[in-house]
Amino acid sequence: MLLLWCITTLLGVAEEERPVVFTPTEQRRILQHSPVPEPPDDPTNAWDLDPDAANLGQALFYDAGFSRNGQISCASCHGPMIAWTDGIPISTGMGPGKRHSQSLLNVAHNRWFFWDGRADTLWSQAMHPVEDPAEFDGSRVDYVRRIHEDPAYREAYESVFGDLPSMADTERFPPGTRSGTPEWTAMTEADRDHVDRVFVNCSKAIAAFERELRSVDSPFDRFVEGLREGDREKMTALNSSEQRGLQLFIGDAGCRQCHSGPLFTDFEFHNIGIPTGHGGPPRDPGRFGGIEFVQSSSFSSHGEHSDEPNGRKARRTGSIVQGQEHWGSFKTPSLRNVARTAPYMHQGQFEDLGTVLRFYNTLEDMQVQDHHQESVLQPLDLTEQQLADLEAFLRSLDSPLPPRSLMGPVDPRTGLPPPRPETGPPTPSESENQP
Amino acid sequence: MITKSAAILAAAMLLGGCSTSLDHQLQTNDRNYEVSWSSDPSPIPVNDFFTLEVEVRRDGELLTDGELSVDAAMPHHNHGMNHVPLIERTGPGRWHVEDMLFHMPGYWELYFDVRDRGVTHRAQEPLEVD
Ligand code: HEC
Ligand code: HEC
Ligand SMILES: [Cu+2]
Repeated sequence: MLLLWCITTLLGVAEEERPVVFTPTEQRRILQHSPVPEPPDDPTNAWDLDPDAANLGQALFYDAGFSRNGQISCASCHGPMIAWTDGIPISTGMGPGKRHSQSLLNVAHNRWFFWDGRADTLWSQAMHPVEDPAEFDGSRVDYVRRIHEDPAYREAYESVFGDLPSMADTERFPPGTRSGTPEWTAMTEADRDHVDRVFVNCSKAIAAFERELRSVDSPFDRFVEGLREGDREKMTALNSSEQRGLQLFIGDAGCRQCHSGPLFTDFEFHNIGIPTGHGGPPRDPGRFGGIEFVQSSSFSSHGEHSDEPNGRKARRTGSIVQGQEHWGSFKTPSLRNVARTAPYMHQGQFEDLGTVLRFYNTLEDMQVQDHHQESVLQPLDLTEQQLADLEAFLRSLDSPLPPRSLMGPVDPRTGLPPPRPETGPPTPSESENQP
Repeated sequence: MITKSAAILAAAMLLGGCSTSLDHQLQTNDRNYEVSWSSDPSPIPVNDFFTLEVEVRRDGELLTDGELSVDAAMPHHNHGMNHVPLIERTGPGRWHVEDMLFHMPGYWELYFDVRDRGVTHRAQEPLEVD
């Protein structure tokens, strides 16, 4: 080591410039992280790949009209300009939330949705915000009524999903009715079923839109292409510091144990003992609660609203066994575009990547739970230079955002931007600067 | 290729005194049963679902009755698999296993528990998944 240092110093080659040599094992591991394949189809959503459904879904996604005060849309917490997140530790909609917003880039690759995986399909996830007091604080009856009353939504809905019966009778469909309330239970089963059906269909349309939110072409991917083809020119897409960071990531730092595959996530759940945002021991059951919910919800992949209730997905949701070890574990986030998604972790505990890496390096203040917890992390004891390399590598996982056309509201019938309002700020799709 | 499969076959004959097309052979820890298995895809991938074909023999003969359960764990990490695999008996001494998932790279142990005549016998295979 010392000898090498002497030689490079004598030759005037700074540490910075020295080329990184990857062993065959390292090369094999690196190739596992790129390219990103197409997201898998979702057989539980028959409209998953339907472009008209996606147009309707995009209109719904950017529409604040479903929230109680008419000001909160999905995009309020999943803003297109910041990688479909909200940039704050704990999201707030109509009320204070409990967790940090998740980026929706490449979201259709997931096996489970939310930090605790309490939804097993993208469409069933999209139903949650509507009645959540912390998000839209709205109701499914009002939601469906609006689809029916708004001519553009109604036309778009009917052209994708078929007839939309009238919701005009407010005795049968009392305004403001949420599922689970006495008013809801008092409705006839057929009426409840009608509301649920339309609500689910709209959520399936949102999922079809979200499937298009992809961002997969980063300097790292060009580097891997070069490695695969033996093209040194392409490999310069990563500088030496980024390459050393990559070497740590797939090697000594052990990151690939959980941040594996092309999305840099195993799509599963771990308790890595991040100190809580509120101080003291964790209160959030994480995956422990998520398993309970997803297995019992009638809107999961095994339920009557699924388009494949007896498929693999449903079987796999049923075959998880909840155990103590799930308590306080959370979904491993994808690290693609991670430089854009600060703050980090399920409560936004860490404000920047440097803080994240210092945690992994020292495990200072780690919240260790009972003996059932998995034990993977060890303090890394990396040098400042190594931490900088690792961070540089993470920053190289940055890709261009999806096309502008996906970044703002559209007419649900055409997918084209709505006519420009007389006054008011331009929509993100019209603004000229991208971050 | 020919030599490799020949070697496997020879090993199988030595071990079990019988032939199997499955590419891994082991014995239960008490040496009473021979367990053969292969995975699809092979080798076992990191964090991708795979299936197993399993055969169990006693004294070289496929087990006529008896039950099999399959499990796996990362003993150094203190955890197992996230799903309970689906096991289907496809004939005497033969099983097909679905929904196997090794969600992390590293050292795994694959467990075959053969329940026969009221006693459970374990065969275990150490595996490096990378
Ligand atoms: C008030 C802020 C807020 C609003 C409004 C909101 N979300 Fe979220 N979203 C979050 C938070 C916070 C999480 C993580 C919550 C959790 O794990 O419990 C999340 C999680 C998600 C996820 C899961 C991503 C993953 O990787 O698992 C998806 C998908 C999503 N939201 C889509 C939507 C859609 C579609 C809408 C509109 C119907 C919406 N969100 C409205 C804050 C919001
Ligand atoms: C044992 C599995 C595991 C290992 C090993 C691991 N991580 Fe993580 N990582 C996670 C989980 C789980 C989270 C989310 C934790 C939470 O919110 O409670 C996470 C969160 C992160 C985040 C925040 C991302 C976001 O969007 O909030 C970054 C960055 C990160 N990890 C990088 C790394 C790096 C770099 C390494 C290697 C030094 C590493 N991780 C090793 C499981 C792991
Ligand atoms: Cu493990």
